[in-house]
Amino acid sequence: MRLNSAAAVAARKGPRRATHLRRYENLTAFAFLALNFIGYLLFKLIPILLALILSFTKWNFVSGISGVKLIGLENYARLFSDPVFITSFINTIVYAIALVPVSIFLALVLGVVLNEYVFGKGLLRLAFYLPYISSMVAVSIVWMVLFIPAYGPINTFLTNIGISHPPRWLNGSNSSLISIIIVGVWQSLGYNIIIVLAGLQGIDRSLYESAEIDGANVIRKFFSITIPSLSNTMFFLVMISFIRSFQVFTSVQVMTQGGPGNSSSVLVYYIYITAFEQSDIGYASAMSWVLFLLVFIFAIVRNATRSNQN
Amino acid sequence: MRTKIAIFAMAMLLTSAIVFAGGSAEKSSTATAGPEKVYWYAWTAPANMVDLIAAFNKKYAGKYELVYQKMADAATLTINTALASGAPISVMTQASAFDLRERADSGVFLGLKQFFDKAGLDYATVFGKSVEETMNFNGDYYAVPYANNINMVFFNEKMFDAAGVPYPQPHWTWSDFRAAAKKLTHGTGANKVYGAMLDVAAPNGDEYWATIAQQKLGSFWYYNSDFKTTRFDAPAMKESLQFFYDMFMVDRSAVPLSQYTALKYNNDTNGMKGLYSGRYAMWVAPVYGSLYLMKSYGEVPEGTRIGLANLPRPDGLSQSVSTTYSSQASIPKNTPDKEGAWAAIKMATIDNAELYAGQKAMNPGYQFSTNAAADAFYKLIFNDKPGLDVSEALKVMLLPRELISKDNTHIQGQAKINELINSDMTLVFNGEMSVDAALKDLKTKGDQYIAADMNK
Repeated sequence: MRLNSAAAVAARKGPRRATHLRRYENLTAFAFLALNFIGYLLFKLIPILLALILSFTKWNFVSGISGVKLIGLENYARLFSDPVFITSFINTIVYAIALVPVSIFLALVLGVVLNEYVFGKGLLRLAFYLPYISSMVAVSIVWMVLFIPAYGPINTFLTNIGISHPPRWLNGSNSSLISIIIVGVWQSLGYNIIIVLAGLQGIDRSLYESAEIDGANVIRKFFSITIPSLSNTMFFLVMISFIRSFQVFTSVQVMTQGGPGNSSSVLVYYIYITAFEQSDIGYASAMSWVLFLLVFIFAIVRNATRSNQN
Repeated sequence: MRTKIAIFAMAMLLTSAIVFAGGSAEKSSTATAGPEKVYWYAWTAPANMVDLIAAFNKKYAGKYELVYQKMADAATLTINTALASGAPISVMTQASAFDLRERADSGVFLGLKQFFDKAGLDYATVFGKSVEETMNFNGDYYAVPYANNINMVFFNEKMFDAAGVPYPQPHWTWSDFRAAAKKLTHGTGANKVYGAMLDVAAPNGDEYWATIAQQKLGSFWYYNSDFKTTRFDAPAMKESLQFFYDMFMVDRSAVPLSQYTALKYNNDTNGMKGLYSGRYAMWVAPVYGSLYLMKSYGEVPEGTRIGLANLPRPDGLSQSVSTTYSSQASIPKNTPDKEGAWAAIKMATIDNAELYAGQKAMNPGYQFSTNAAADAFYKLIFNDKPGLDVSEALKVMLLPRELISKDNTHIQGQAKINELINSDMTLVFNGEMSVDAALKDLKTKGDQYIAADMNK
């Protein structure tokens, strides 16, 4: 069979013909990629760059392009004196730091249990995964009812087991963010478990057998074999979970609208309110770039840490 | 390889041709001869537009054709997106005074005084002094109210009968309201029945906590007369917030904030459902709340009797004062036919309001010239509302009352003040902030926000 690759052609017909063919192959590849790239350019890259430009302006988009007013760094300067932005920024970080380790740890434990020690694995995996594929709006509405302080099921249960002053959940400024975190952990668990399970399938069974022969117990095997073997999977999960956590919005929008008193306001929610309810596109763009930088810096630091470990 | 490239290139060309052809077809279809299309944008259920469309198209046959474009809702984003989309909009409706002012200041809307002058109409005479005050921006008007949403109290007559509580009197006071709510509240836990349901502090909600203050202070209730400072330190503000705080947190006779936001009683359809289902005995809502007794919103149980009462008056005021807010119609500056748009607005808001506001059980934006006209209109809006005590409702609506507009069209500091009100009031009605602390916070920061905006 004749090969059509540039290398094979070079071997038969010389270097000029090979370069020409390689160029054709490259052009074909770029042509097929172009469609996706054009979409990325039009709907992602250009809007991101436009947002950067708008972050230096004051603009109510209803007034049209003629209403754009350049104001320099005013929007960025305003961020430092905006208590709601500062609260939202801190809440976003707290949400991510609280949710990611808890969710991943639970996923790891449940993943190991589901992988080895349980009957009816398929059904249980489905049960854990269902929240992840459910509409976050529907999930949030259900949790709002569960969290009702006076007679919601959660507080009714807590009262029945002797806790006389259960938390006010969504209606307490000390507990509203925790409530959002709980919902986030519950919803993300399924996806994390599936990723962990996939990682566990890739671990060589002979390692466990050897460890058993050497007398290792379940806990020792978990820490000495399972966790090190899952390091790549964990790295991926941590990255994805943090990036997703920084973008939390739906649960806040549906359940608390950032309240009570901005105690559960997060960056994306505040950006949304500023852009679309207060029509301050410039300021919202500045905040969205701060969020972008937060995620970007996190990704760089995490990659650098990973490289050092390798 | 060459064949593959050729196929790919052909596919791209074909796709482009289809896309451009579709665009051209759309453009050419809008350029056909015939009556000028007047595009009315609103969130009204299409069934409620049928009569207006039919009447307008009959009156202006051959000249204009009213075309209804339904929006998903009245949210700021929905309307702004439509306005920014470049679609031909002849009339845009909205229910937020703040948004109206922003859009007017951004140059989106056409000044309407020219049309009023041409038609020989005086805005204040047609719509009332209070409405005129709030809609007048530097001597021009950028919206026409098609509905004046008067706040009333709907009550479950059967629950009143069962508790032995007399029905609300025409000029009852807030003290009467509070006493009735206490008597009507009973039960515990999930089975607790409350005396009243009113939205005091849901974000961007009705803010009924400020009602007494609005009744006493009038239009632009939290601005001082010079609009340079706020009046959250006014005695009426403390009286208003303290009153509702006591109802919610001391008497516990009103549905708590945590419950009504979770169960969505602050949504109009659910609000009425909660009332006739016996979750609470009184519901403070605009007069169009009766719309939600219609079959299309759910089957009303047999034997339901819903009464209508005036909004209570503050102790010390001798006559009934109701707060209202308007739903308005505006003409975008880039509308294709200004005269056609004005014709549609005039018909829907002044000449034949029964065809628009009437279909939605809304009180019209204009003032009634005679009691007979009012009676006829209210008979229309209360018609076909199973469970409503229509004769009582008619009597109550014809009672004299002063109307205070809640529409706040003064822009300085408003966005941030409203955000602060949302934030502080959720803390107050969750028991985390005292009344005095909240009002002090609103006064201090509110004044700062106004000053900051004025310095820009």
